Amino acid sequence: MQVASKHTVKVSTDFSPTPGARVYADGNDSGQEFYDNCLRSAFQQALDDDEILFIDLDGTEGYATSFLDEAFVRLVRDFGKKTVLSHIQIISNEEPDWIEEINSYINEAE
Amino acid sequence: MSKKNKQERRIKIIQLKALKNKRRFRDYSKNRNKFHRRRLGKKKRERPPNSEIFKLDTQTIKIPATFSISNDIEAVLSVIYKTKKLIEIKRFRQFDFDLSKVTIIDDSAATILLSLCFDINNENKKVRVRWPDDANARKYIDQMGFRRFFQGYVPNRDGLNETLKKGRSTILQRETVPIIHKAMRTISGSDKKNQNLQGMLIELMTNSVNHAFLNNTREKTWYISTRHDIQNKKVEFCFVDNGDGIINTIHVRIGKRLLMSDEDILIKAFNGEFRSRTLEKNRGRGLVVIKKNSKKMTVSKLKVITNNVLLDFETGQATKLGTPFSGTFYSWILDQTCK
Repeated sequence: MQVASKHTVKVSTDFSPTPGARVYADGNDSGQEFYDNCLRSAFQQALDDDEILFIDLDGTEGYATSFLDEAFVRLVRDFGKKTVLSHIQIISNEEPDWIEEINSYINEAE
Repeated sequence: MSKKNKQERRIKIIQLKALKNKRRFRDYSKNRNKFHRRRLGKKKRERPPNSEIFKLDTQTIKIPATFSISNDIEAVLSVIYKTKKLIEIKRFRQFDFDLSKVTIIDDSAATILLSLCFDINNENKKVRVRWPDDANARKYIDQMGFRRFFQGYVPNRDGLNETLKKGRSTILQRETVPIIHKAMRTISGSDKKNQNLQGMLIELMTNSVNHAFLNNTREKTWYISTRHDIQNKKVEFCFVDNGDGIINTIHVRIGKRLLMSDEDILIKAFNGEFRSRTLEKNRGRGLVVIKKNSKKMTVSKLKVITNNVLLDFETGQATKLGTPFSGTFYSWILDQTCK
């Protein structure tokens, strides 16, 4: 699926082709770093324009659950579950299981 | 006599007095010790020659003829267990591993041994290895690239087998990328990525760095090794850390010994039944993902050895071992059956 929206975050090009683990202490390109440097500002912008943020997971070498979990749980904590669910769309053609997985992280987040 | 000469003479007198006092005190101590020894009926202890002192600091570890996890797991674990106990003794500064009798060796055993050698080095202790007399065993070790880590060896590598990639207290997801690409080239003939395997390796590294070492003063190291079988288009992977092991970590985290067998604890851990130490709902999924990769056939023949349990993910069978392994060891195969 090709996405042509100005509100798109492609992890492999906008952040890193080799995402790491959970927090800064774990090493480079962590989920926390992705949230702080990329996801939060992109989501805020999409929210301000009242549009949907497309998050494209394809093109990377692979993800650890902790990376995705940290990024999306932080998003829920800062913006609320309802807002997040209504303003994001995950694209994962290479590994479709991640979409369901991320939705479960968002739903379980407190 | 000039003022300067007078001062020099005074200094000399003081120095002579100090020397005299020192000698007197030495003679006094000698006589006092002699007197005490005579009183207690003891003989003067003789100091061993320097070569003997050196021997006392060195431990020779004899590796059995069959040093293979698949053939004799107990023999391998027994050597590793004894060595780990000896490493804790500060007095031992050098470890000589004698592999001269080894005739059968496999990657798993060699990886654990090599990881141990590095951990000994990290403790500022020396390691020396006597290589196998048997030509086949020596060739196997050469192919692994094992010997290139030791002094005096000129590597002759085919550039495929990754004897060891080690990490210290950090997750090196960029370094696992070439390992995976090489493996995929062996299996499919083309440079490919494998997202699930990359994810699994990050989970393994994360577990080692964040959970395996209860004692924070120790260096948190992990090791990966691969062996490429080009003819059969398969790659064997080994991952090891010499931490405290999954079962021990769970016991410490919970704060009491659980009333169930160690086998059940390990099975439950991989089913995600023990929560993370942070008690957050969204954490503690690492082991679950590792198991999932076996179910999804990302990898085949996945096995884990930790503490005193061997868990085979394909059969789901957990076996209690006679000798404990302090640490966690994973092995799996990537071949054409893998998705």
